[in-house]
Amino acid sequence: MDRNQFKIFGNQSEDLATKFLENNGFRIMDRNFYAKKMGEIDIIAIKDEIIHFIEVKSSSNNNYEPIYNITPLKLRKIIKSSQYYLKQKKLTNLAFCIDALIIKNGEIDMIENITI
Amino acid sequence: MIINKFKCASLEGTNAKLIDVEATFTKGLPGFAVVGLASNDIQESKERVKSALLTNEFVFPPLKITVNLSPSDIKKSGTHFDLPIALLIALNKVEIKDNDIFIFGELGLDGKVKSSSMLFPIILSLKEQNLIKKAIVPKDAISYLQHIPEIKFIAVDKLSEAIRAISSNDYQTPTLKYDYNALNLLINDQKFYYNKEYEIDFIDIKGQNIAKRAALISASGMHNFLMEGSPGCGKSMIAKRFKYILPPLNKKEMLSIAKHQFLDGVTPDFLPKRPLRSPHHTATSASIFGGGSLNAKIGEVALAHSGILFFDELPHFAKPILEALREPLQDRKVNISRVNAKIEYEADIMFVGAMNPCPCGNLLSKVRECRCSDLEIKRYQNKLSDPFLDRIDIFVVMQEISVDDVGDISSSNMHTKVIDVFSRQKERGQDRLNGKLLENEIDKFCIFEDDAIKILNSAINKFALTHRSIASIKKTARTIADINSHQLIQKMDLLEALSYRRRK
Repeated sequence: MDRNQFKIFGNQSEDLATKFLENNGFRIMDRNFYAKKMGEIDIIAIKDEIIHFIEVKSSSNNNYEPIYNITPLKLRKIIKSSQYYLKQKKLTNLAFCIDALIIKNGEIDMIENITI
Repeated sequence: MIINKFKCASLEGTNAKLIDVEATFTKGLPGFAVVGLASNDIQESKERVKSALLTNEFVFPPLKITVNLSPSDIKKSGTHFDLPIALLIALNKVEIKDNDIFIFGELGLDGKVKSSSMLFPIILSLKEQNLIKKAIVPKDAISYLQHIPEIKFIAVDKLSEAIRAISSNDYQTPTLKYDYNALNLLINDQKFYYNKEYEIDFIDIKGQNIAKRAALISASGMHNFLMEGSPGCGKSMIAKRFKYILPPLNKKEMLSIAKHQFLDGVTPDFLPKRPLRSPHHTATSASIFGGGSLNAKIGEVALAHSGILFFDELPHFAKPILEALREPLQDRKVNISRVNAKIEYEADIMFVGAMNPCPCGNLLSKVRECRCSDLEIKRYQNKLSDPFLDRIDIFVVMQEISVDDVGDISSSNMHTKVIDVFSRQKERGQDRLNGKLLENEIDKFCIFEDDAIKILNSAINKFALTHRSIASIKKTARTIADINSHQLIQKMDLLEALSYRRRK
């Protein structure tokens, strides 16, 4: 796969993830939110007055667990971006958490609250 | 916001300190922090709690969790904090009304509630301070915790059971049995338990009738005892057999012995047996008296509480140890003071020592020749200072045995006599046994007949006895009078007591 194909695959996964979230009672607030230099958040959704910042990771390959792609550096970037988002949208009185959504061969697995 | 609070405790020395465990759930980046000078084992509890909650299908709230152990300025340790922390997180939306409940338990990764060796000492100490009425404890700890009376225990096996017990008051209290079937005496409405089993018997010791008589006196009144004699004459044999003929115990003493066994890492059998500790002579003073720089721990002296501390080869112990032993023998407690920790503990011990008369051991022998020079003998005997020897009530010199010596007194007979003398002391209203009487109690209980007084006074003049020696003679004479069934101390009792003084 070249660079472009990666991007297409990534976008497909995020679409899949969005559908999965909507089916599970989440309301999508934002997608691909860019917080300037700090980084990008794939999906921002809300459920039961808790904001979920969701990082989608996927792989088409059976030999690799996509969760390993969430590195401590990536996590730090997500945390910074999420705080920027909350401040920008003035949502500081809501609880929030950071989740990972793993898509492997079309199967979706959601891991909530990964920072704890 | 609901802030729930549970009670727990941490051990400091041998005493428990009440600790409140409270948790807040605030908005912010989700996280989990335990504050309040928690030691590593409590910090690790975060992982156990997390895993136990997740495997029991509880979600971690997406909030910043702060668990505080207060008062926050004393160091805490122990894995039993797992369960209260897990319950606070699991029930973060429920208001808990019962704020008086204590919760103890270590969690397994699957949510199983486990016991730890700290539980018994902690709960017993809380009971002694009258702080505890109701507690949630691990089910497997009930077998020994049930010996502590008047506490309502709720036994749980799994985290889910504990959650149910707290949130919906749905629990079963286990049936406890406080009383047991050990042999006992009832004196002045108090029960004293004893055990008539003798693993090793005094009947194995041939001859040595004076030493056996002295051992009987010493055991009856818990008098400090020192034996001097040639190698192989039976000193250690006597010391080992002492353990089985000691006076009966009340419930409180038995619980205290069990507490010290737990602190030593041994699971007690709750039988009415007094402990015998015999540290080797190479032991350091920290191992005997307790110590440690960060958190002070108890030593052999504490473990021998209400039992015997036996030093074999007494002069080979380091001089500082022998001198340091003076305080526990006098005040019945030890105070360990370190920069970071100060603990005080009870050490009501009966001291038993055994020594050879000289470095080669043959000084008293009729057959073998002593190889030591006068200077060597002097140096050897000088290891024991006078203030230390002053605290020994009964001193016997043992001769080598001869062929026709037989063992004629059994432990069972001696123990019957000890129990008999014990009842006399208790019936007289003594709180302590003769050997442990306080100054004012000596005047109250050790009453002499007139002609005995005269002998005592002349002995005081003749031997220039110290104040402490006089007290010790009076106490020993009291025990001998009790053995001889004399109401007042008679001349013969006093003379026998005087014969157990160390001659210089």
